[in-house]
Amino acid sequence: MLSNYIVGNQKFVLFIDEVGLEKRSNNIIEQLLKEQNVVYEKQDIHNVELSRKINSKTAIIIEPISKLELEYEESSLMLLLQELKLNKNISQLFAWVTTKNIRSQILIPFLEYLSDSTVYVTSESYLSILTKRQFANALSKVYQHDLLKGKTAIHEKKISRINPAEVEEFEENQKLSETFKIGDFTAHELEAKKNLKLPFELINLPAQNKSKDDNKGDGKIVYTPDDLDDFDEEEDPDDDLIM
Amino acid sequence: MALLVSACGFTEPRKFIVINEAHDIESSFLISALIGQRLRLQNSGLVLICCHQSFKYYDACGKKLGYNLSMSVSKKCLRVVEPLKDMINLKEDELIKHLMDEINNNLKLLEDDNKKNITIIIDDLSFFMSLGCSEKSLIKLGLKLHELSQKKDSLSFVLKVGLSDFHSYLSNNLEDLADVLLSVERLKSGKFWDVDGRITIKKMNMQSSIPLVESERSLLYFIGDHNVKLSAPGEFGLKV
Repeated sequence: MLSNYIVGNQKFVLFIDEVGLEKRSNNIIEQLLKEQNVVYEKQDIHNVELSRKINSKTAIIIEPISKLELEYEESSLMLLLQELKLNKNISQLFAWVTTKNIRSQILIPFLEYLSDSTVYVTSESYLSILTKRQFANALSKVYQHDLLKGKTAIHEKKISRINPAEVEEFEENQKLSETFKIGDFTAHELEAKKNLKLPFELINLPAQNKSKDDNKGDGKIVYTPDDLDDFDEEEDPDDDLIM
Repeated sequence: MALLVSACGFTEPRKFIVINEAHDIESSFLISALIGQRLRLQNSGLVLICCHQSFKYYDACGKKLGYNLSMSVSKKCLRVVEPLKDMINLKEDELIKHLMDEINNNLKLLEDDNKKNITIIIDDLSFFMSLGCSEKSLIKLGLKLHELSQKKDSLSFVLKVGLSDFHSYLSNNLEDLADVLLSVERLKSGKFWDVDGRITIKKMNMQSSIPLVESERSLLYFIGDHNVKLSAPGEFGLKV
């Protein structure tokens, strides 16, 4: 389940939506939280301030960033999110940002920096999760998803690492299986290629290289008529017409 | 015209229709077609906020298409707001507030007359940007109107966004609210004698458990004197 990868592990989870699913963002996040039986609260624009006063440990889903951007200035929005992230009473913070609905260019890089885990919804069937681990490198994996079909089940899509030795072997095999060899000749092959005279080049060869039977420029058509051949008579076919 | 009206989803109970108009094309024929369809409904009410085109323009179009707007005004089926006449001297904050007040007042008057199927048409939101409003304030206005349409069963909104290719922030945000999204643009391949432009009709699904877009189709149109001819892309070809 997708919720196993997202819920409960990291403090600030950011969804970066490049498809345009903002209308369904709350449903998607709520479903993930319900799958893990997590207690959560939704915070609308005017109540974000109130979330500073939360006493019990809860997960918070804030309004999509595009809506918050309408109410707050860039700097105050950044401060607010930072403050929410540092709030010890918030167990997990979920935010959704749709790239096409954002005015400020600086917001998305800032949110990426601030988040502990970023879910990139890159298409209607693929997403990738970038997890920042505390004592190790960031981990990024690509998954297939069915978020819009009401299911949050996902399948990991394995991306094989490219081994240079494997690439070399592949290229060698590719060369052997090629029908034509274009370029990349050995010295011997290059010499043979240069010496080879193609039929149309023979016409330009000097006379001493030609055999005695060659008739340069004296081409004629030799034709043996058949018994059944119907030749036109030399008489004028319109001779009987009186003009 | 009936084909255009049904293809664009005007006959369906859609509450929030957004028309995106590119900078090099005119989509007032869609508004004219919609007005004609809504006025033919029984006991319907209409508020027309004319920013891009004047009331006279729509009245003249209506006469060609077979309806009389002046008569509808006198019957109190149609209420007209012309911001160019009464809002031009207002400041940004006052402008949005004044527009919202006009909408609410006209809505109340139509409701008092027991009108059902009330439609409010704003012909070009981008006009208010020319008067100094910011895109953010217009998005907020769009959100308020969407909220209002959800509260009242018999109310629907039609918002046109002119120069949508330049005001992508505004049009992208309004797109998310739309039940039907109509995008009108010129042919990318150039000018064509038999086609004026292309309409892309996206009908959104408002239920949460199924895909966002219910259906999407694209049509070519040609505006004649008394009608609009529709054709499917690829229908025109070389006739040998």
